[in-house]
Amino acid sequence: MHSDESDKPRTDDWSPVLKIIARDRDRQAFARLFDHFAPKIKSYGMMLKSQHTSAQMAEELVQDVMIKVWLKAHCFDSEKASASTWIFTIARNCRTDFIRKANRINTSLTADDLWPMAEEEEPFTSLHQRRIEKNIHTAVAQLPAEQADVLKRIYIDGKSHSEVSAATGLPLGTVKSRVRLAVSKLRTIV
Amino acid sequence: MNHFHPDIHWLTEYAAGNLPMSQALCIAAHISFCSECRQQVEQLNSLGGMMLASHDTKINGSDITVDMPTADTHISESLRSQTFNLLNNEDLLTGSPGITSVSSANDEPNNTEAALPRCLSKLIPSGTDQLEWKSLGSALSVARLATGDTQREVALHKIKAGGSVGNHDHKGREVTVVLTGSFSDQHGQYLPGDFLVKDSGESHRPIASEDADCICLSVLEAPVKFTGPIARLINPFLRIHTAAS
Repeated sequence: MHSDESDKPRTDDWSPVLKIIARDRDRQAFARLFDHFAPKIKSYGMMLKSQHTSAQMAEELVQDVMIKVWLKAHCFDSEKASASTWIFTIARNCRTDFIRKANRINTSLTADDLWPMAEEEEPFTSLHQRRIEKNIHTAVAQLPAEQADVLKRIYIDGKSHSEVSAATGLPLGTVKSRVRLAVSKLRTIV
Repeated sequence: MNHFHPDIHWLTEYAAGNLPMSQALCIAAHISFCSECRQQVEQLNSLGGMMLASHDTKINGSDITVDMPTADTHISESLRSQTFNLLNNEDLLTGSPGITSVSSANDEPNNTEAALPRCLSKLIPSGTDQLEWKSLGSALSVARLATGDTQREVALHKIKAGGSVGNHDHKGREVTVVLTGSFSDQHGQYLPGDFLVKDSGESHRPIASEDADCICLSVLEAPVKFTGPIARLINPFLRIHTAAS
């Protein structure tokens, strides 16, 4: 809370807004966050169309994710992750649970069992992770377009490597090597 | 320290949320043992955060432009106001199952035995001893887990200490994570947390170490077919090899 980053604020840095939401239950702050992230989350949810559901699911996903953000804002820890990363993980888990329900998969497992919240991690991780977060932003902006495109299909459109290959006509090996190149490049930068 | 890890593609698909739940469960189990991969997953999550953040903006020459709402991104006023209205019912919301499952992540499973990964605690609520084990021979038994996956068989396999499973090949891909004990095959010895993928056509002959039963989580895309004439036949040479290791 006291830590006002000495570094230059990033344009995508919504951490202070999330902290205000957690501390003051500030609805105007929430509205700003909503207007920024809701379109992205809707687009993120559009792949649910292909999972035997309607486009309406994408809007339900927006609502679910944003409500969770409101309710769990106090769990957000800017030392561990950026606001976008935190919201991405919530959106991913919600989308997984949507697919599970839409396909009537009968199990007690939920997405939160599959992606455990990082709580028991090593003490040095968060500091390290914070530095990574800062650099990854720059790194992503520098990725060659064809690598960024493959990553977008995987992360946003929710396509597996082989589905990306089928959709683009690229050989699976090419898809894999683009992922590998992108990730290893990020690693050299962070 | 684990020696057998999921590769970067498995970890990326996991972080992106693209794996079937049963396979994601295997990665979750692995990273509960492996801090190295856990850190990689955190990086890959950050990458997801950046992809989301930069999603409708211009990335390095791609032709997606800002501020052009399409059907895919348009947020109607009714969705907006509906969501804000829900904030008034916070008490109601926190009572919903989706939310409570989050906060209950801290609850310790009432497992008496040594540390099963937490991701398995719902499927195995009272320890592996309480599961319904079915014998598949003198050394091997299996207990199915209810993940609801209709295309894959998700199960724990238990090899008795010193026991051999017999040579088998795989009609479909099999993912295995060692949970307790250890076993070896022609490629090496696998300790708790180790993650292996056997593709269709590959065969191996797992042998548990002498000191303890070995329990593995496994996800099979199609039934395994035993190739040896007698599956429970134990190769004496391999047995000596395991005992010596």
